[in-house]
Amino acid sequence: MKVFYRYAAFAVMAVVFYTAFVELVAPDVTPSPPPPEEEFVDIGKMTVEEFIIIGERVFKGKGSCALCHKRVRGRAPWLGEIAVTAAKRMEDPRYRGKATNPHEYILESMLDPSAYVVPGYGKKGTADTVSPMPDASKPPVGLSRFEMEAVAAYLETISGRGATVDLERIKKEFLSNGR
Amino acid sequence: MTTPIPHTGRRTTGGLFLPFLLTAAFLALACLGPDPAHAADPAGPAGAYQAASPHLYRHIKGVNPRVAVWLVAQLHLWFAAFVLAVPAFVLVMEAAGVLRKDERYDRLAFEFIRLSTTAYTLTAAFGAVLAAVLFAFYPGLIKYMSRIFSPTFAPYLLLFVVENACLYAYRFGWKTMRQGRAKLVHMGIGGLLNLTGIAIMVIANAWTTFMMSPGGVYQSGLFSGRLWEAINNPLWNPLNLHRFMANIAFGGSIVAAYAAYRFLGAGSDGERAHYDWMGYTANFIAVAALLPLPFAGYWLTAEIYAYSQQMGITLMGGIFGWLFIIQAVLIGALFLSANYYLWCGMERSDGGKRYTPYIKYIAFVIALCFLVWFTPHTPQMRPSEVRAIGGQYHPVLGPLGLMPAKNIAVNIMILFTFLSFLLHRRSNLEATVRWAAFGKAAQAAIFSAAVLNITFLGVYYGYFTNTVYKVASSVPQVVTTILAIAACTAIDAVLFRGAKRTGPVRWGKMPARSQYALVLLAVSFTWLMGLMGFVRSAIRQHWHVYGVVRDTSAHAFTPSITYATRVVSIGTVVFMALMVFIFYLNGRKRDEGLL
Repeated sequence: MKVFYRYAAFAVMAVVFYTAFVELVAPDVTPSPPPPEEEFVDIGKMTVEEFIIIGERVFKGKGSCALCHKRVRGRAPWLGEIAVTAAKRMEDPRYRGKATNPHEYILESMLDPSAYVVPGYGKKGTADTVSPMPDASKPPVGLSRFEMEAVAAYLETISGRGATVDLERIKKEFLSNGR
Repeated sequence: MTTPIPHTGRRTTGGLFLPFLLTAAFLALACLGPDPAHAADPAGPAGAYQAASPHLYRHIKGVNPRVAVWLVAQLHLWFAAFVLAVPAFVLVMEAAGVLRKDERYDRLAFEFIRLSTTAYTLTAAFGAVLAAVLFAFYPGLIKYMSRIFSPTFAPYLLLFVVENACLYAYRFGWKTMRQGRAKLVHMGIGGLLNLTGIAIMVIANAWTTFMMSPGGVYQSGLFSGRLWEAINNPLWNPLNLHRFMANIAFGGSIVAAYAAYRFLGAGSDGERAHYDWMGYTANFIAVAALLPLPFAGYWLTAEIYAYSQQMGITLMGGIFGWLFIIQAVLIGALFLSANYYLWCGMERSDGGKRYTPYIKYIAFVIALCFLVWFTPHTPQMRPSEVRAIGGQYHPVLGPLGLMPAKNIAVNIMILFTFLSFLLHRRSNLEATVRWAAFGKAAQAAIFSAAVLNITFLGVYYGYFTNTVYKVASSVPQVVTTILAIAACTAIDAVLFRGAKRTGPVRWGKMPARSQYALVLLAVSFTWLMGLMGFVRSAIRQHWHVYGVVRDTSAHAFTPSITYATRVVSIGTVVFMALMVFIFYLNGRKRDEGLL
């Protein structure tokens, strides 16, 4: 009888200890409530502003771009002025891409991040010729063409240059292939 | 030749579950209502969508549907893990008995399977209750899942029937099929029992992992008709491996807790010796499966990241980041209790005293590794505290909060636990081969080189190279640990072949406190499984099926850690109470001429 009580008390004490440890030590952070359900966007009637908002959501959410592209202590270059700096980078002899304007440059950077590697941000031992960033169109990020266009429009906007997106072309592509 | 174990005549009664029931009731009062942080949340936003109308929920006044499903599912999983694991090592033990011609193994295996049979009934009962509560509270989701997975239901039920038949034939045929060819048939039944058990687990895992990384469906939730893609989704195989290994470790720990229970209540030296040996064997199984478990965990986590970076970040960052600090406490408790039990076990033989001076160094290293693992990356601080240490990260301890430091800690902890095993194994042995000194020196060299390599890989690639290598360096660290363990085990096996015994191993000569280490092992495993189960499920956040079928119920929010741990604690107390009841029932059974 005594053995049983000791055994049970010990087991219960262990559970109580773990519970108390969490209650007393771990911060009682309340997770954010679920985001509101995303409304369906009628692509046919979509405005440029709505398209830019989609780009911001992808940049901060599904694309996980904001995780590395931070202004402070970012592991990747800050993109707050990318539409302005893009022109200089395209003229850099180290640039290996085919873009002719900032919008194309941003899209190209998502698909082929090594086309131009900002000094100091390349993989170690590659003399800044290879980017550690994955192709955003492939897993684990897996953005569609529509989403990448939206991100490019968003980045152009926050650079203060205004989005240069061809919305009619994007709408047409999306309506024809669903991406 | 069997040595019947005299029964002590000690009996417990059902009323003795008072401590468990009181604790469960107290915790239930604290958490079965809504999470206070979300009590004011309205019901989920009214939605449009989805292909399979998953927005259908039923409510029963006074019942929190999510907690009800959570608790029942967790209890079903704990019992299922136990009944799937035990037949695996029972079969190995039965085979060892036949090969070594030692009936002690056979008796031990039989006692293990007896425990499993009783637990099997409860597994099935909780499975039925789980199906009922899911249909009752989440009919929309079940309808959606059924549309995809209905072809797997019939094989699942068939396997369940076959498993049931095999288990009862295996358990009740033990006595009649003990000799000659009948024994082989009996072992064949055991093999079939294991195969059906594993098949049942992998089918259920397909349903679970589909909810995390759906395959074979379009973004709208519409099923493509390709069932194999839904089953063979990205997380299916990593979870199959992780669960199988965790089940073995968990099953071993529960059997060890049973042995401890019987050891503490033993009325004779013979009985004490038997349950001491049983506890030692079960602890060995638990720790042997625990050692490679972090590696299966790495694979699962890597696949989660590969499937969805967002899900991976949710898992390892934010509020769930703190769950890994709690996990560190539990893993620390597991390693320390397993090691403590081994150190106590060295008292069984006089030769063990030779190694006693080393114990304090092993304990120091394991405690140090535990503290490194325990160090948080970004502790919650007040503004004044942030100013006092000059930033969000501590200037000295900050680097210990990063994953490379934790990888070094866990690998070294595993190696030193292995060292405890090695010393325990040779406690009453003395090597007689001519090259004994050379063999021991080689083992010491391999061990030291492994520790140095693990530390170098972690420090250099973790702190002095590109971020990409931080994670990649964990693979060679794991390989180093595995190779060191394999090489030292191989040398040890040859080194101590035909070794001189320094004295008898006195089974039963163990202090009572060592048995509480086994109880702690079982409770910690149970609690840890519950907590990690919560994390795995919670990273889906407000999705029933990640990214495809949204949870629009009032309970779609992610609960706080404290709320989640209260639910896990209730489950653990209920599970342990039921297990002790099974221990009690098993203690009352007649020995059937086998024990």
